Amino acid sequence: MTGGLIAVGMLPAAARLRAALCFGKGTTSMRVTLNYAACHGHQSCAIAAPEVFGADELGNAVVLIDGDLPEALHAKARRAAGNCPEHAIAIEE
Amino acid sequence: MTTLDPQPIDPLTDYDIFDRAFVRDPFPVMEQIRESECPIAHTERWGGSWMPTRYADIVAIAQEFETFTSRQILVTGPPPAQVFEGPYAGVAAPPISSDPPEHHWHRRLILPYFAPQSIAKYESITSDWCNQLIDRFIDQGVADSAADYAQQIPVRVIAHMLGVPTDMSDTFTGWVRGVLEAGLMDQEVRLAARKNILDFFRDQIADRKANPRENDLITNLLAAEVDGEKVPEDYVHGVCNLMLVAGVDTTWSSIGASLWHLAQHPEHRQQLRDDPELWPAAVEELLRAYAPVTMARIVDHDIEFQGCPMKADDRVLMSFSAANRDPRQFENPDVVDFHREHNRHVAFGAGIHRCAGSNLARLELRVALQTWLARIPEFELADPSAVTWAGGQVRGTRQCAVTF
Repeated sequence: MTGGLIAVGMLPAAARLRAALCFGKGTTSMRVTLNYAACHGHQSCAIAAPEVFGADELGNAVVLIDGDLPEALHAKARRAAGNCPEHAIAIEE
Repeated sequence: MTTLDPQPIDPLTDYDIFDRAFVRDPFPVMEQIRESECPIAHTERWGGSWMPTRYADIVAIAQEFETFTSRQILVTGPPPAQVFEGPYAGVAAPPISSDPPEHHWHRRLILPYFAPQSIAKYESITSDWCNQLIDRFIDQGVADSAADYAQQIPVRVIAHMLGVPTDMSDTFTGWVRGVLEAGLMDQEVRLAARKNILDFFRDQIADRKANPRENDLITNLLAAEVDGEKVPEDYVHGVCNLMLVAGVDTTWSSIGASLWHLAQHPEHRQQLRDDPELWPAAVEELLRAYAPVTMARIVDHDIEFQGCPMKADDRVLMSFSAANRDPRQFENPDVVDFHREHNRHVAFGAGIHRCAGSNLARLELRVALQTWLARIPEFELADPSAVTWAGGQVRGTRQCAVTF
């Protein structure tokens, strides 16, 4: 899957972020969920939070980080959700 | 069609999208309509149309593709039944002119060419062209930021992408303006420009069939199959038509309007110098504030929409710049703020017809502005009153002299 390939490309950053998590930084958790059916490929999310969102082969959004986001990315993820013209991103905190 | 009348009397019932004052600055009129008791205006001019001005209504129309069809997407023109008469009757502009179910594969086939990872390769050649254009005028201390720069960039990128001669850029630009500018007020001009475009791509398609090329968009589309069958040649012809018509005037207008803005806002130029990480948000904010495109929809069946009695075959305009200036959606919408926290703008539309070229347009806008600011960090409008704008379907500067 293209999304997987992109995720591999992002691994160094993701790995760093996971490492930061392992040090116990942050007490609040955040996850993002993407409604793929609602996404029409604006890429507004990837512009706001390129560490969290990427693109598949059609340019539709994919989530690059499974599970909890590191706190350092919370603000960017909120911005990504708030910029999506299709309201396709939900944030669970 | 009506001819150019004196000033519109009441924008709510008689707006004129080609009125010179409206083209130059549509936002006060949009606001007047938006804040009235009837935020969806109507006019009989130019074949008649409805014009919603609130974000929620424009987005709803974009999403309701079964009621608001894409049988015709130009802001003026003949009734839909007459659109596909004459030469090239079967050639439209898919997927922008398509409705489901065909829309799905019409769009699916071209999206991979415009995904972010696909268009990244055009950055360096775009930057080269921008630098070459600036080389032509940087020693003169004055330049037309619209005609000598903005207008010159997207046409080259699109020609390069289609594998057609980039040195024909002025010819292509003339054809596109024939469809999207003069042609909107004169059907004969529009049809002549359309014929030029389709004659040219008919020959390009014949050439690719005789001499297939490697990594070539037209060659690849001609070989594409859907459900085990080759796609119709009219589809490929239509995609070429769309890429030229939709990929040139629009992005150029966005670059031009952004330079017009930056010429008047040294503090924004400074912010971009001080914090290069601001660029992605700045591009989105400039797209929001100066969204160039107005698309049209044709109403499928009689319907009452927000109290407006719309009839089958009525035309509805979706001014994305009107949506992007709605205070119900954006705080201080008339203020350009590169630090805007939430920017759910719809410069590229919304729903199934979201601009397929949006990633490329953003790249061109960013590279054009970055290259300009790197070479010409300080500049101002030579004469604000001499700036000219095109409007109607696509709004942007057409003459915009700056000094530096």
